Amino acid sequence: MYKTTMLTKDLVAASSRPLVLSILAEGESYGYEIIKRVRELSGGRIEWSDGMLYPVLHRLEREGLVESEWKEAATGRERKYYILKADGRKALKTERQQWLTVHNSLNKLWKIKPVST
Amino acid sequence: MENQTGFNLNAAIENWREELAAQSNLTAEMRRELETHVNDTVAELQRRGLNGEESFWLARRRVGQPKELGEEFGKADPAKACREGVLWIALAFFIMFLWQNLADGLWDILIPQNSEAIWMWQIAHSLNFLPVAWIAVSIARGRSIKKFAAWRSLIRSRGRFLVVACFSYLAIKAFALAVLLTRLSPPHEAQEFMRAFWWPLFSWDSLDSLAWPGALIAIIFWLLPAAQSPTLKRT
Repeated sequence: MYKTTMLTKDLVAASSRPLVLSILAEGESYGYEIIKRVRELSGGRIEWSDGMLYPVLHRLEREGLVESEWKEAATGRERKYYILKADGRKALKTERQQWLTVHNSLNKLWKIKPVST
Repeated sequence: MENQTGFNLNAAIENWREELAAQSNLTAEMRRELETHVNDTVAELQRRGLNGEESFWLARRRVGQPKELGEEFGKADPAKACREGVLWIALAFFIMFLWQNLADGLWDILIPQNSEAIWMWQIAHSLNFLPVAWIAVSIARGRSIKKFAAWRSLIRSRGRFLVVACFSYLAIKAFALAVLLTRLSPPHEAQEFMRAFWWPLFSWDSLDSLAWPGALIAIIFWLLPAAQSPTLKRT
């Protein structure tokens, strides 16, 4: 058994924004599905306290990057879906550049081949 | 959903909802969103073989303490909970206004039109407050959630509210006018009708009958979400 390294609280908070924007860039989604997706993508290493995602989504909505609507699933369950807006795509582009800058800088220091932007 | 240990999933979720409702930073919509999240988590954990009790406690732990949720959500949009408070107060005033107008129309039919009936009017006016008191007591006892849930669909969106509000206002006005018309004695009918119908439009009276509901409708309209699309079926 190997010990999984969990992300620090600060890093979880900082990365929530690009993660949510990127997941919504794939298509509309709702809170539960977004958390599940992040857990899968990170192999369980990014563990969000479920309730903490919603303030992030609400902040993005207030900034006009995403919009939301309630929809009913075939099972009769209602869920609040979030949809990425055009401004959200622009914000994601900026986020992406910034994260890649950090990523590539660290890679240079650690002598790993850089990822192209 | 009950098992051998006597755990009731619905009751547990209901308790949890009440805990959430105690957080002043959480709006009704935020609570609804968190509730759908917990329901989804419970459903999935049960699919994986956990029983109702285990699933609920795990889902509850994952979503976070109601108090922490209140604090975090408040940080994201401090003004939102405040706006919702104002919305409910404005709605309460608007419903009071409609109810008072409707009740006065009803009393107009029941109470004879003579000077000795003044005491009856006084009783009638105090009876107008009974339903208001009943609603206040229900809310104070925490029964609001289910009893008034059906009404919430009337204010889902600005458009729907505007239609419902204007329709109910006009309906009550038409009712009051109809009551008045039935009371008119034939010789003065036209004159009285003109006076009753047109005069208020050009007098200070009209400020009372139009400005108040108008202002309340405007406030509520402004506070409601701009567009909330009707629920769509997904396959």
